[in-house]
Amino acid sequence: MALTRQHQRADSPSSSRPKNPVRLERWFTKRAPRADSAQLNLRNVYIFFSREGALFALLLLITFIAGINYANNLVLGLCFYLASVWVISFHLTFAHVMGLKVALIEVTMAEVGQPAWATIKIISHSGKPRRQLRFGFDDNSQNKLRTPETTVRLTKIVGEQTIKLPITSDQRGKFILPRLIISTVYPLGIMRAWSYVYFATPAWFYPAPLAFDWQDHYVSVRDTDAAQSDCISQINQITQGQGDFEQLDDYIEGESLARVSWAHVARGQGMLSKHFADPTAHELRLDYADMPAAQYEQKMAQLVFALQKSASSDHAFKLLLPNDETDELGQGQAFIQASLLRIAQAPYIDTHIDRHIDRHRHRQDAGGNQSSRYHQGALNE
Amino acid sequence: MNKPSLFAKKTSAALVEPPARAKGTQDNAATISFVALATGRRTLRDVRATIAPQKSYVGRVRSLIGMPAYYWVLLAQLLVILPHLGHLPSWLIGFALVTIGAQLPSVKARFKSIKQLKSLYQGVQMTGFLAGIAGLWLTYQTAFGLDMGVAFLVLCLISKLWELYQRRDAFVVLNLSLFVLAALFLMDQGLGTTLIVALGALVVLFAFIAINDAGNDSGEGRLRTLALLGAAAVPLLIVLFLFFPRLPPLWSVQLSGQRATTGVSDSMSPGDFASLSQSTELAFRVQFPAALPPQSEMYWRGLVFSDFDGVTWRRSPNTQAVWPERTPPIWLQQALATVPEGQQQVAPYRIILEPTQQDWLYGLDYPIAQNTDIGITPQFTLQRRQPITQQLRYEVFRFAPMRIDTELSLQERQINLTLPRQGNEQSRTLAQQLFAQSGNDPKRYMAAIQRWISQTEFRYTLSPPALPKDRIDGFLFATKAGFCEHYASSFTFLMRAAGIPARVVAGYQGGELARSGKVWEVRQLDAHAWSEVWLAGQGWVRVDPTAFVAPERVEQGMDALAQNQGAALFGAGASAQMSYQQFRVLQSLRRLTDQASYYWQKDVVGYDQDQQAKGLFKWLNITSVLQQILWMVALGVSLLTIIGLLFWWRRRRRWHPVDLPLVQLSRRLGRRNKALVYSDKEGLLGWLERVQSQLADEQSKDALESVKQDYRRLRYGRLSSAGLDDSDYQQTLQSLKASVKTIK
Repeated sequence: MALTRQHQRADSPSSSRPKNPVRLERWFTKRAPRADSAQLNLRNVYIFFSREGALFALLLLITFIAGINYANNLVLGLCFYLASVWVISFHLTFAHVMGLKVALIEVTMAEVGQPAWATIKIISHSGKPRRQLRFGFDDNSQNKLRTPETTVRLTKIVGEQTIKLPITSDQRGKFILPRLIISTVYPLGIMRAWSYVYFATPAWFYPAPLAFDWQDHYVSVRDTDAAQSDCISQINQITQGQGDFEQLDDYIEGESLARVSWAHVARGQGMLSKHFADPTAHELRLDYADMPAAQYEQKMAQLVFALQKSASSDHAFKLLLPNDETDELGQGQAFIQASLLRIAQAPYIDTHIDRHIDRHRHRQDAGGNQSSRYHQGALNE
Repeated sequence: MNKPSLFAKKTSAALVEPPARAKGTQDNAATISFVALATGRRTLRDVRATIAPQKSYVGRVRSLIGMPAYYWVLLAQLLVILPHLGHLPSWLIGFALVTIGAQLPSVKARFKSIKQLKSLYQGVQMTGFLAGIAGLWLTYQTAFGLDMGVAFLVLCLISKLWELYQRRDAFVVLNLSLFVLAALFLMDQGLGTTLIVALGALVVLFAFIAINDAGNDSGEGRLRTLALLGAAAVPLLIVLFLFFPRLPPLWSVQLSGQRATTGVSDSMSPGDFASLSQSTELAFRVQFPAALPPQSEMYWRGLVFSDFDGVTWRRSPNTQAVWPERTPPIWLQQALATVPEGQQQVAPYRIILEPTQQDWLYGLDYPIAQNTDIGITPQFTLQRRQPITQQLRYEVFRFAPMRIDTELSLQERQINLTLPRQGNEQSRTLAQQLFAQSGNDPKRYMAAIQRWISQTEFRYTLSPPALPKDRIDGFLFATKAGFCEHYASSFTFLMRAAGIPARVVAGYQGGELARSGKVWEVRQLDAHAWSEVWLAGQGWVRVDPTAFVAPERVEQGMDALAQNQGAALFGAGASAQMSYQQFRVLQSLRRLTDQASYYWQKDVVGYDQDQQAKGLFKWLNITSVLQQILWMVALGVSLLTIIGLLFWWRRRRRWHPVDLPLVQLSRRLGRRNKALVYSDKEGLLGWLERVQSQLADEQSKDALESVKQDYRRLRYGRLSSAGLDDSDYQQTLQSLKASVKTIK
């Protein structure tokens, strides 16, 4: 049946990383509720040896054995001192993470394969600066957490600071942010203190555009009579405007009297009102059903392509999606973004259902049977 | 119909928000990374370019602290390897210096490509390591031993330095260098060494901090972090050091190795002791349980030399030691039987012997050790199985009135009578003459020799002239100048020439009370040699022929002798004067540092399970190891808690001085009504408004209104940019505080 992407994510976060038992992940999750802001406290800041710390532990052990075997108090003393420094560094390393406040300001939407950017505000109320904190999303699939491109290291944090972190996804739809890892190894690099923050706001990914030759086959100038055409249509948009004179129509009560064509009235041809229109405005109908691809997701990708094309023109358009009642006409960046979000938020559907949908060229007035299927998909979200 | 141009090339760019990176102080382009320096892509010149030149002293120190971690790693290596100068072969030190120099970015930058650099350095690393191992084997002639081990460790560190490219390489290097530092303690445990190691450890820790502080070009906060770490660790160190149980060695370690020996050597040919006598270096310390024996009785017995080849005195082959676990041999039982009744119960005294690299020990005539790992030879030399490479403490009984070897075996007699067939004819003739004159009585013969020496122009000097081929003749009849060795050697020769068994004993004589007045100190300058003559019925009898000519050497000690004779003792001329002055200055300096050094050695280096039990544990009433560990854990945990709280207090939230009265008000109101507590989300002004709406009291509402006004003025008005010392600012702040107080 329909499977949503976030299901895979939420239920098996450790499936791609067998070394971390599920139980441990759950334990971490339990200690930090999903929210857009979090204060790191004793409950959810953790500390353990870093990789370099293991080397240091080995050094301590060897020095200790040497001190015991040679009955050398000073070697033992040095060993004790280094051990003490190590224990103190627990405190110090921990203190640099503890008490930090993290808030997710916004997450941008992005196409699959491109990074979405999460804007995160870091607030430190501490009397002393926090140093060398590293921020990065724990994304196993990317497997490049340690590359500097996906993490941000702040040398010094006093007061407030804002960072932006990239998130990438290889699938369309809702993407629950992976946990944010905040970590530091300052000062000695022996211990690593870290904390996980689970943000509530998801990122939305719309499909990467799939190019198709729509101009030849699917784009047509649509005149008023061809309104029922199934194609993606370019129509002369009749937006009410003050531009060129468009046509005369029967006067409808409530219309401005200034529009009444008094010349016709005088001639006794009845009350007609003048209608004006902006001449270059054409309406684009981006319809799911008109996409040439056979598969559901591919059609979605083609819709994105079409949307992006229309972004470079100043035409108003409407986006028609299956199982989506919205039939809104609009233009401009904000509208394009909103439309992309609609595509991103469209339910994720298995391919065999996809074909099913394809057969029934559905519309907003699609049969109840199909609607219920979509709802099922949506419910899974 | 005009077709809209829908097919622009750029698709996503218009829709995706430009990928702006984080602002703030994260890695900026100016920061020179560790890797860039380690591969020679950047050099010190680039580092200097990023920092404004500093004229003031403080500024220069600051820019030094802010140096990239790479330089700190190299500096730490220098500080870690150089203290090993004393015992490492010089070629290894040289290699180390070349290695550190070759790691400088300016050197690495000379290579055309990183690949070329890496392949060359790897070649040097491999050949250096293999050649180093071969060199170590040639130098030490052994695969084991402490010296070899430490040298090998240093070689490993040097080799690792040839591949210093990444941050993790630096971690390996720094950890290794901490280990090399610890190894320094295996070679020497003095106070000075400790200070050097402490400095080295701090620099290495600083390098650790610097590595983890990339991007902080000003180095700000690094020293503070080091001070916090370093200082907070000291109390913990003390607790661990005092309470940690001193476990027995996990396996026995071989400490032998070739080292320059100081102290009495295992053979004696006149001239050996001249250099020793001038050394004020400490040989050992003694703690006497009761009164000190008189100075003239303080003969610290060391080796006994019975073999003489005309030039050199050596130990006889018959010096197999017997160990305490065996039943005492007959010669020991017989000797013990001669101790008079009532003197058999004596308290032992304790000797703290500095490392000698030899396997024999010292003790007052005649010593019997209490420790189980110390044996005794038939010549009453205390013996250990392994050379003494570290300070050793042992307890010795002194049986002064004991007679040893009252019956001399034929073999022993033969050994102690043997002289070279030829040579020193003059002396042989003299011996026969004097012995005949004394009526063949050994005692009268000895007195005759003493008379002859004291009446002839013999003198005591530390820089005697060189002796010709027949050394005994040369000394007795030509130069007539020498020190203990010459006298003891000649006297023993004269005895043997007359048919009386005699031998030479090497050790120390005298010593002096340390400044503390509690400890007796014996120095290398107290090294001495004397004779033992076998007399029928008495066994071996000690005769010190040096006392014939310089009795004060024996009565007051070497130091006093030097005081009295002054520069003359060291010979004639300016060089003697200088060495005498040197002797004096060194002497007083030594005394000062020895005081500190003594307590260091006794209380820190020598702190063992015994001292734990006797000192602190007695006082704390600790009787078992478990209690000891519990104490340690309890003290450690409470210390850590205190330190944790201190850190938390340092890092607690600091409020703006204007916010502070309001936060205090929030706390006050919160005690009465939890709902009135300020939460971070609302902002202080919002909170004030909320409180205003929730309070019933009219007066408080008015007060809140004025607080709000003052707060706005102070935080958002013109005054927000005014300084704290601005009078208007202060006035408004005072008014705010006053209003806050009236709120109920």
